[in-house]
Amino acid sequence: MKILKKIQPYLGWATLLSLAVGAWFVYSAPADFQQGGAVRILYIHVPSAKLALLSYLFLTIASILYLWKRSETADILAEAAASVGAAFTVITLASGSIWGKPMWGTWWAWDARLTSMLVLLILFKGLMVLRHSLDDPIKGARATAILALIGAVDLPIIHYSVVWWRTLHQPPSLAAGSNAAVHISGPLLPPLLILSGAFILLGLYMVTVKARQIEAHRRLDALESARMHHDE
Amino acid sequence: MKTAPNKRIFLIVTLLVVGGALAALVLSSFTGALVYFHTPTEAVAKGHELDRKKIRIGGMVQAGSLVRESGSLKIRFLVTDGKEQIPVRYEGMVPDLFREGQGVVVEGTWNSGQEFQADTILAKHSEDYVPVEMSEQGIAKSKESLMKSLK
Repeated sequence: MKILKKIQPYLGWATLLSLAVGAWFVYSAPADFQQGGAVRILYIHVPSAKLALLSYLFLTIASILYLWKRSETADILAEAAASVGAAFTVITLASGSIWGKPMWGTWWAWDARLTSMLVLLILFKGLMVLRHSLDDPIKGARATAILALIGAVDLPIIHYSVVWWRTLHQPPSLAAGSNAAVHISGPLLPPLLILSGAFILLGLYMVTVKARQIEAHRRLDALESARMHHDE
Repeated sequence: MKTAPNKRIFLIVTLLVVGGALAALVLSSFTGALVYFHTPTEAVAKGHELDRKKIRIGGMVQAGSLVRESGSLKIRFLVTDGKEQIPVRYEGMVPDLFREGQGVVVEGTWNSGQEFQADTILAKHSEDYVPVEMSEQGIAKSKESLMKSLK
């Protein structure tokens, strides 16, 4: 946890700087040939979605470490990642909806991508609630970690949903691997790459702040219960 | 410390909602319920099986097929996947991205061999993002991507 305290200011400044650079690129990006200015919603939507999925990946790894090594730090990081992931899942769904209404003609469609992303939000929220639904914090942490591992099945479903099934949501514009392709042309691409990086920094910064807050909270709770014990 | 009753209800509800959502998603992954629309070729092949059911058909708005009835919001057009085409009738507002040569998903009822009665029209955007100065390339690219996704 000490290292988090050390890196927090550096992460904070790096995030702020990269967001500012990204914002300038978004401002100067041209209009899309079909969507016009609404294409800029992409620059919030895609980085948020990437960050939401990465948060869950991070949470899954932290949960494995917690169950395996019983490391409290891993548990704290998993708890922090759940809040950050939930926030960015909400931003992804909201920004997608705002784009979808004028472009698709609907706020919401029950296609595979949107549905599996909604399940991700339910998962994040469920993990947050489950942790505090058990009186014993250790039991709560273990149950949360186990549910997190089960829920990880949603990650490949979200990622491949637009490839495996016919969806209203478009397939990936940036594909890696065997059928690598870039479907974003010219000056529309740099803002997306810069903001994807900036959002990852932002996510790391938020997890750092949240994890330190959770640790402080747990220590206070421990002190309080020790004092109550002493008073009896 | 004993578990407060409302805390236990909270726990059960959480597990039910999360477990239910996950199970529903995984199950529907295998049954094909996650396929959002039929292509015209599939719909024609199914024939009368789809009659009187609420269905979605997706494809491209055939270039040159769009007819607007003057003085009303009524439109007619053909949805195609390159092999089969289905005539569609619709009345109402259409989304910004709805246009000839672009992707569309129509929702409504269809009796095999007749016109599709759409009550909702959704534009299907392709994965291509192209600056407005390169519109020509953009139109070609998005057509190609759309046809690929219909296979």
